[in-house]
Amino acid sequence: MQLARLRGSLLGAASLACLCAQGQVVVRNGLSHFHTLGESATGVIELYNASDQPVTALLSVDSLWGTQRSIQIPSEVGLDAGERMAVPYNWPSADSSSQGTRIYVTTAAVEDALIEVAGTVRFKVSMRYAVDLYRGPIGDEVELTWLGDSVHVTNAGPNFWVGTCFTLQGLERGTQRIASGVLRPGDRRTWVLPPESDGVWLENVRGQVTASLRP
Amino acid sequence: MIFTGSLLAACAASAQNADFVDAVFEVDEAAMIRAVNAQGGNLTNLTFQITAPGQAGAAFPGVASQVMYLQYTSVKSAAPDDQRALSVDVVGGDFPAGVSLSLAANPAGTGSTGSGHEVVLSNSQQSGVLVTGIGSAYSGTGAGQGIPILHMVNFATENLDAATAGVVSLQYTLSNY
Repeated sequence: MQLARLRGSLLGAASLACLCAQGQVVVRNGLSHFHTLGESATGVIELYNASDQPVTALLSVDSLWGTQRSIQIPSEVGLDAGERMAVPYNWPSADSSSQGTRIYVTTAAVEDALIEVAGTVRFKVSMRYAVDLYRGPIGDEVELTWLGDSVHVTNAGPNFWVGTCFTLQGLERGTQRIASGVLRPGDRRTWVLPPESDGVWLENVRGQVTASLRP
Repeated sequence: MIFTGSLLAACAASAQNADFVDAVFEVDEAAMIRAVNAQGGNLTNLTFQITAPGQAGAAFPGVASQVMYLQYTSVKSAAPDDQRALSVDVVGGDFPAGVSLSLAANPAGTGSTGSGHEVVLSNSQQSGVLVTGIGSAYSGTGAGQGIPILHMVNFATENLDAATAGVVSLQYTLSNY
């Protein structure tokens, strides 16, 4: 079997090119990563230096919620012009509780310090990205409430809900996928149903189903 | 449309020499943002000068507002990274006595650009959310393109103290929902 690997990053490359010479690190693989228990507690944050100068990306760790276990991640990495880098992270110990950790990614400033001048107020501006890392067990405690053609889905349990929301056709799972992903404890999403569907079918990655007919 | 056509053409070309072809599509979950001025140039600081009035007895005149544009490219993913937010924090410095900063964001761009909000920062209010609900969208890269963030310095003459002029560091954060 021949594998023709056609990367959709052509579009990304085009948009990245416009930021060259702007001196900024960008995040390429999303602002949220989830690791369920039982799988590797390691991952990467992919960075790209979109400038034509070497830069230093600074990574700082902040708590998000849950039991905080120290995560291992470099505090800074250097990137040459145009370089892409996968910055690894790792939770060194197993823990069955839900955890959320936020990694802030900034580009080290190279400008001179601003001088205070009487009678003026200066605002120094910088950018950063917040990449959230989650780890924990998967639950199935979702609550559904209806409002017209929309359904409100709330993760009412203490664990993550990970799965997909499909349309409901009659009393069976439809073929149309409405949304997918991870709902953190307490997360609420509103999804609009196509008019021809009879309801929603939520199925988590363990095959547990919560379904509801449109009222 | 051009992108899709190119992929189809590539698939067709490969299929002539193989029994099976798997096309793996990978789209970067891009999160990119930068601050520019009205001309589209890089912006790293905004300076406001609070000047004395022209006539004795008058209050200090107001200071003209300034606009910073946040140009961005965002490609969302699955929940919880299906919606993104832009927030602002004071991460250094103190506001001069009697001074606060109002910020107002108006979503702009192509795609799911979200909803804008107003924030007032001061020594007692150090953070706020400017835009919520950003999905897959982009702002453009030219002059005047991006999310305009209107910065307005607020003060009352009787509360000013010229000895407390200073530098305040603002950090804009792009995060998931």
